[in-house]
Amino acid sequence: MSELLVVDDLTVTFLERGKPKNRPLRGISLTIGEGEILGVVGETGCGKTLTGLAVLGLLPQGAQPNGRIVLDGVEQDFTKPSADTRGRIVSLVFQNPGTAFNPVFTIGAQMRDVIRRHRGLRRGEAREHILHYLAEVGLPDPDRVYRSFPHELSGGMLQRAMIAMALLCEPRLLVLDEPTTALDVTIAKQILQLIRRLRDQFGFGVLFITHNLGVVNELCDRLAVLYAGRVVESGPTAEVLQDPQHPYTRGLLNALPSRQTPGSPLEAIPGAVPGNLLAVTACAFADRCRYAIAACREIDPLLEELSAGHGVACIRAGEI
Amino acid sequence: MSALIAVQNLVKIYRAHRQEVRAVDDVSFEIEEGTTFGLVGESGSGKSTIARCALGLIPLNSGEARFDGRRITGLTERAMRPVRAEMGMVFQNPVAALNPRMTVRDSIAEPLLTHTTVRGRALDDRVGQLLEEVGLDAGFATRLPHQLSGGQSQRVGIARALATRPRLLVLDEPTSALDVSVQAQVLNLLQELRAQYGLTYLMISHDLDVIRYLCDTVGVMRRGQLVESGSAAQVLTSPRHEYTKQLIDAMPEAPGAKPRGADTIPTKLRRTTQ
Amino acid sequence: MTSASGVPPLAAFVPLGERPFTRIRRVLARDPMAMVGVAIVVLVLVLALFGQWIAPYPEQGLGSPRPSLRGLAPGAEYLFGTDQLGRDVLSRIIMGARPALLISVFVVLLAMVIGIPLGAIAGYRGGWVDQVLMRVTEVFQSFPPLLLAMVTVAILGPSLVNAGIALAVSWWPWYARLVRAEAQSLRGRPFVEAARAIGVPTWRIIPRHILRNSLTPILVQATVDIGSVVLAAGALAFIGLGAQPPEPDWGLMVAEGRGLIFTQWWISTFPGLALFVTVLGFNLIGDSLRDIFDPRSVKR
Repeated sequence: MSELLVVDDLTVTFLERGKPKNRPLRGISLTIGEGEILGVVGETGCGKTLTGLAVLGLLPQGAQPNGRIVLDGVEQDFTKPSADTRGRIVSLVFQNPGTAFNPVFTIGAQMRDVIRRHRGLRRGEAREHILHYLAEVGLPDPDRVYRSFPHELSGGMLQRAMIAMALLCEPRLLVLDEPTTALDVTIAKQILQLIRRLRDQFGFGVLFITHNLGVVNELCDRLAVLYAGRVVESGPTAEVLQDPQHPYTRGLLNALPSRQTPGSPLEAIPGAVPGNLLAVTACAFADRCRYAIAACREIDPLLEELSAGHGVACIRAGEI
Repeated sequence: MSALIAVQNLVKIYRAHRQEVRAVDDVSFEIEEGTTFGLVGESGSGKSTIARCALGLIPLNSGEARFDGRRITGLTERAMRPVRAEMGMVFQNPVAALNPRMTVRDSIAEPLLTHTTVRGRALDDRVGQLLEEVGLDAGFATRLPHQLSGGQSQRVGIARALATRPRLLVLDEPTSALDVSVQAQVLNLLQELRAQYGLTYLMISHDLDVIRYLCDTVGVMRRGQLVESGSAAQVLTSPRHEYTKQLIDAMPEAPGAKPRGADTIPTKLRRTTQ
Repeated sequence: MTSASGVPPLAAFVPLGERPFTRIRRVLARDPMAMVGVAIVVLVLVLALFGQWIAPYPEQGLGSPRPSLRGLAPGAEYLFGTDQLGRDVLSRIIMGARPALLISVFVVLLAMVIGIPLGAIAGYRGGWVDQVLMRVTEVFQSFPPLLLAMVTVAILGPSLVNAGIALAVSWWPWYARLVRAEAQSLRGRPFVEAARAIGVPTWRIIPRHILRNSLTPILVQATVDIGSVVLAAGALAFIGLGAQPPEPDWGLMVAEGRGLIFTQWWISTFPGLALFVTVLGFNLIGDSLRDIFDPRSVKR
């Protein structure tokens, strides 16, 4: 499997008036192969969304990236984010389909803008192309959707239309930022099935950002667990979830109410994610970790392979 | 034991664009004192509307709600006030449920100012005591909502709901805006408070796992109707209604491994302050 | 939607949630136009407070005539020249700052006292209460402000205070509408629902939860209005319905010099400039405050 996306030691620092104010990403490394679905999981503030934005070249102003992002063999230039890469090679689906579309234009008009910009198709050709993809994502009446305004469609239909829009330029990689979080469970399930089917059909890679381990379990081939701006554990989904090695991954799993009998207390992870990561020099999880030893407060562990393809960033990995 | 809260044939109709929407359509249920009733359903199923009808926050089209045997439907706001001291409500979006310009102290003191004559030093002491009960230290009293994390805000929201020592807490998706690790802290806190004060909960959630974990009895809502209700064990393991089955099927399968190292849970884990 | 996650949208990267005062300072420091506004307003305030010690000829500023010095062009001794009665135009402009600001503050405060409670009640209660209050407001708004002021002055007699009352009568509906819109959006917010669930009575919810969270737009509006009222009071004085001679009023001074604009241009021009600069100053600050508080126009 050739690597479609390589993120190597990506650091993002927020600057204010030239001075570093926070460092939300502290050396993220991950890869996605052709046709592979990588789940990026973690809690609020761990850097999931920012990682997605960095891959898309959409970092907010004042964010200074360091490291390497290689997309389909092409090294990305942080100083000149290319709109051409966006759409053609990598495309984005947002969390909330209701606000991702402009309410005053029809779905068709908004999709036409995308495709005419990237492909230069004429109006009639563009329409055919769009209807084709609206049908591909399982919308029952593509023609009606094409003419609809966003408020005339349900959340699930909008998310399908959003996915169709992301597919228009036949991207190699799709970044999905919590695409099912705002949807009801029954609809969310359909969307997950759709993503898997489209992946099988088109063979694109997926960077799937979510906080829901259950969703990762159902959909993703591999997963990367983020904590405080760093990948703390990554590997094949089944392996990581069956036999988690990092204390944070274990903590996330043990906190799930589905894994505990009613009435007995849940194993909560005490404390909260550190707000500012500028001053972190040791393991950022040590303060919340029940396995922490003195060395944990001195050494900043890097992601190391424990077994083939299963990496853990914990100095006590293997012994706990 | 008797029903602390009972609603009968609740109907709530909204009119929008000349269309009638039956947000709540002939719903009846009772909650025994000291038990937890979970209302589960998808968005727009009417579960939040029911909670607000039951608390008398929005007028009904027909039906009635009783609290501890007293009819509370149709009471004026003034007549309702003493009943409100016996109820508390916890909201889905914990930060938005706090007035952004009021300190934690002022937010928690509000029910006490409304329902009691506690003032001055005694009021501050009571606020400090409530903060401690929800696992926050007294230093939080002077903070403003934007200086709190989601989990801390929800603890403040719970402290406020508990201030007048109510018998019933209505929990409207209390953890759906929180991360799993924080959700676990809040669920633990809710369990502990329930045990300590014999509280009755009306819990609203779309998350079957949370409902299964916390509730004794469950009602499943769909398009304004209560399609199935019964003990949590029965409804969630052997559902009778087709829709309940669909809901359960749609839940993503939880990661399979047995909880690891869950044997030694420090009892004071939830007293997490920072 | 029920299942919101703990995941922040992109907007979460915008630094909101600071204490408003910190934000004001930070944005002012970056916005040169706002600094100009602040400088102007501070100057007008200093003139209003200490005018009688700053003005070169304070007694002339207050109106005592000096017939021998009529209509002198601007020069070293009389920087802005003298008017038809021989009074130093500069001194009169300086002495005019205090009444101009006083009347402005008086009008804006009076308009707020009437408009804010009515708007808050209408917006929070809704229903027929809202309908009745808003129809009343619209009646007042449907007359041109100057016409309303002329009628009021005609009834009460021309004077600066009456002009102020007249202006407040046409000004309060704007505050009522502003606060009503705020109250309407706030009353659906979870913390207001929380207060209702607690059983907090309406008369306490309105000040504690509604008005406290509407303060910033009210502040912005009031800042801009102080400038506008200076102009409106000047206009009333200009047509003889506001301040009466020999008071040092900018609008009155423009009126006094209007017949001589081609020969003794300084008599009208300098007070006119004073009006213009003052309105500009308050508007610049108001615009900047709006930028600070309106999340849609956050400049990064």
